[in-house]
Amino acid sequence: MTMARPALAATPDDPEVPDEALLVLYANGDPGAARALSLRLVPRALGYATRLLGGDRAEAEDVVQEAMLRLWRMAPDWRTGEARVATWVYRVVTNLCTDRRRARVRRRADALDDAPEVADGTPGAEGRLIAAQRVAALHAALAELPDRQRQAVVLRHIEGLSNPEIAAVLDLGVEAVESLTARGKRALSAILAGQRDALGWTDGGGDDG
Amino acid sequence: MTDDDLDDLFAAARADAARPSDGLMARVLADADALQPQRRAPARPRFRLSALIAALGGMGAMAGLATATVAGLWIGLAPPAAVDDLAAAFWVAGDSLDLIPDLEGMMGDADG
Repeated sequence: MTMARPALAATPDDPEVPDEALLVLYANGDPGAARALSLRLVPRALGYATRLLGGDRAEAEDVVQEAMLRLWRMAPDWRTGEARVATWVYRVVTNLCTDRRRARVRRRADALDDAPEVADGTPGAEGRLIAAQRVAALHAALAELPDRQRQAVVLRHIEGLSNPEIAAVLDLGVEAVESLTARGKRALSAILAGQRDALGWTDGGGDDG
Repeated sequence: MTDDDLDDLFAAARADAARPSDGLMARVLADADALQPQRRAPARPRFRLSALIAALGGMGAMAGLATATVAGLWIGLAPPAAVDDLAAAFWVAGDSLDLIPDLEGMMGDADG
């Protein structure tokens, strides 16, 4: 049969069911909706929060739990069609991270000692080390950017959102987002300029180490 | 630091996918469970005899309905004299009497 199934007749695990439909299912008491929605949103929110918080994974997990808690709490009042669920979560994570950065004592993680866990599939111990060092260096450099530039750069270049989506998350115009990402990239280049050799680039650009 | 170098860094960050710990997922789902509104009654309840009886007015009404049904059956099978007389008044030697003469006109060809 080639007929499209109506969303609500599908199971919550069906990737074609929109986030919003899962949220409505959750609010209606569906037992599987929360898990399906969490499997989609938590990894993205965690990645984003980790970048915003300079690689602090534990704090990022706290932020994500809080953001998801707010999502569950407002689910019954969700107004369909007004915003995308993922956008809403990104926005809450953005605000929570900003609050945390302001609240905590400014502690600059010694980035290169604090090599984060690297996903499986990177070949070779040396390659893994270099990748970990690069990620740590990027986190440290991101931490030096102004909040808005950091948020825009991470959403654009790591999370892969479009400029209009970023504008919705940050509550800005699209032109402001373009300006923020351009300035953020220039600033990152300047901050990282002295670390090319240490991060495994031997000559030219684009060497994967 | 070139744009390509930066793109490498971003790619490394993407590859360093933040896989949520089991603990985080468990906490998130526990929150979801605690805050989830109670499941609503299904929109279409399954048919139940008790629901039908209640809709007709309860067991007292059901007793009346049963009596009327039995009485109707009995009148049909063994009509008392009074019913015979009444029927005879409308029944004239094999012909029928239209109680509502215009009925056929109103109903069209319903009588066949």
